Amino acid sequence: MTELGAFVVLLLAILGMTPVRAHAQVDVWPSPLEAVEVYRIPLWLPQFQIDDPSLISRAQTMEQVLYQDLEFCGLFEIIRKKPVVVGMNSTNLSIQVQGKVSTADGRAVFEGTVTDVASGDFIGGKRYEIKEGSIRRTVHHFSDEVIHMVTGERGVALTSIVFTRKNEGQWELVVCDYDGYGPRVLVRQSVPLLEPRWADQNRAVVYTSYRAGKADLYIRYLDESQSRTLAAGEGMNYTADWSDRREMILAALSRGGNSEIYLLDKTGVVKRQLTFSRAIDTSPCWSPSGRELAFTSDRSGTPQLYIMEVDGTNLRRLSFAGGYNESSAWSPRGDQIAFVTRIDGRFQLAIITPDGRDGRLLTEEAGGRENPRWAPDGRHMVYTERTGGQEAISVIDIKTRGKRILAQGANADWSTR
Amino acid sequence: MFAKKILVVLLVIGLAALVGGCGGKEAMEEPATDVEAPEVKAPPEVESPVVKEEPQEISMSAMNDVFFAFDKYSLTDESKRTLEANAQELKRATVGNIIIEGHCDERGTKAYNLALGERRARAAMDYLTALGVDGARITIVSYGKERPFDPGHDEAAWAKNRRAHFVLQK
Repeated sequence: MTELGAFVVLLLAILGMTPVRAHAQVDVWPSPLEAVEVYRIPLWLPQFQIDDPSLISRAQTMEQVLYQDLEFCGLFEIIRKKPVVVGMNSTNLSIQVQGKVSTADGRAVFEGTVTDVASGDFIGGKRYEIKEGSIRRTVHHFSDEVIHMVTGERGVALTSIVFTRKNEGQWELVVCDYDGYGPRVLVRQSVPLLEPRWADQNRAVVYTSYRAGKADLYIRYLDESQSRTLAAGEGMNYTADWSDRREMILAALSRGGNSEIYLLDKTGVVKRQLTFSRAIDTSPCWSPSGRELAFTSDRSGTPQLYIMEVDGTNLRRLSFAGGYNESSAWSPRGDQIAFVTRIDGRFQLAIITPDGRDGRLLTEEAGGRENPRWAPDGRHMVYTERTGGQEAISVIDIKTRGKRILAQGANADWSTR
Repeated sequence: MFAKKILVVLLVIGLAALVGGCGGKEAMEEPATDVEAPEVKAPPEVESPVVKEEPQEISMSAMNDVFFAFDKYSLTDESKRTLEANAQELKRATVGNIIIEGHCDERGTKAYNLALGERRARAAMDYLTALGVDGARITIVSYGKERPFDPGHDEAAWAKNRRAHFVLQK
């Protein structure tokens, strides 16, 4: 398995190296790579052992959640039936994840173990008390552990997603688990509400609202019952992005009559104006280091992506292909910037490196896509899928290009871990 | 004549209801499940909303929308003619202010459309002030693509949604 793994890593490295393009000559973003065969680690997930029959229904729920978590991360090829092991060098199986539910000292307990199938070596295990109301969360804890044991990096099963939706003529700000479960309405109002972003170590959400008759920025702490006004000066105050690294906010304000990018402190006070063009400057997003930002400007005549340092220096244009590139989102590892591009009248997701190389489409289908936002694993992205008049929060695995719908709504943002 | 009076009375009642409805704006913070303030946007075809008793005050009549090309905020000749008529009306009326709403069609991103809608509203405002309308009577607000006039998803609907819309205020 390790040999095969190494081979796949090498193969991916070679594939990743090939297309170095002179970006200024590219008229449209290249198409997605042809279905890259992504190696998945064969994982045997047998039925849970249930020692106490009164726990059957809970055990079934947990087994289902564990399956979905492990499936979602994209790392595994999950095998449910007991496989036939064919000799020592068999690569059709690598690890076994075994769940067990029992009662100990009057308490319901979930125990999960991870074993190397070939050697029989115990890789790791965890025990949890099963508390009513947090069954899904308990499994999410364990599945993150499994991913950590295998890859050295935690999964995203304990993260949350914030989004907006229209419901009977009202705009709602909603928070849910990473898999769409447990939606909770934070704000409901009759006027538009858009572009929520996680803030302050996932304890709060900044968003744009027309509560006072125009676009202003508000912040809502999850443990509070009311939103606070963050920036509501003259003109529009919108499209905020919070940096936990800097504890600062980037936003677009039109207080001088024209939409420009500003740096605000965490209380919404303007610290610095970052753009000074007569064009539209909007949609700022932080680099993960908090040292740079990407944003959109139509100073060239069409909306294009730009990058600059937060001190206002080193401005450069990032996107050259196509006539509409917007809504940039910097990946958590800093190596990619996702954005929305218009091709043949349709809006698609694309990615490019921060130095402008290797730009390519992630989607090509009919309909339209908007607002890509990275998961902390750097592999998944949440975005708005538009078909006709319907909007859905969808998730794409950028390695396999696999997609799935999470909930009805739009404008999602993925929390950090 | 009588019918017109009834219409005026109805409009006044309607407006009073709207104004009364948004009186609680200060306190309309959202309890998670409570419903917030009612829609405050006037219907697009509304007529002179407030008729005062004093005969020397002349209120404004409804103004026509101004339309834009895709991804543009420049004024067409037709837009300019509409704005000239609107400027006449603003100058004729001695009372009343207007909000110019900038709107976009559903294509493109939310943020960029907000900025584009603001450009459209500003283009309309700049033309009105150039024609001699007092800029202090005008407020602009962009709704981007959030409040389309026509909910359709074709070019006919989009053309109607790329507009500057004029809301009369007392």
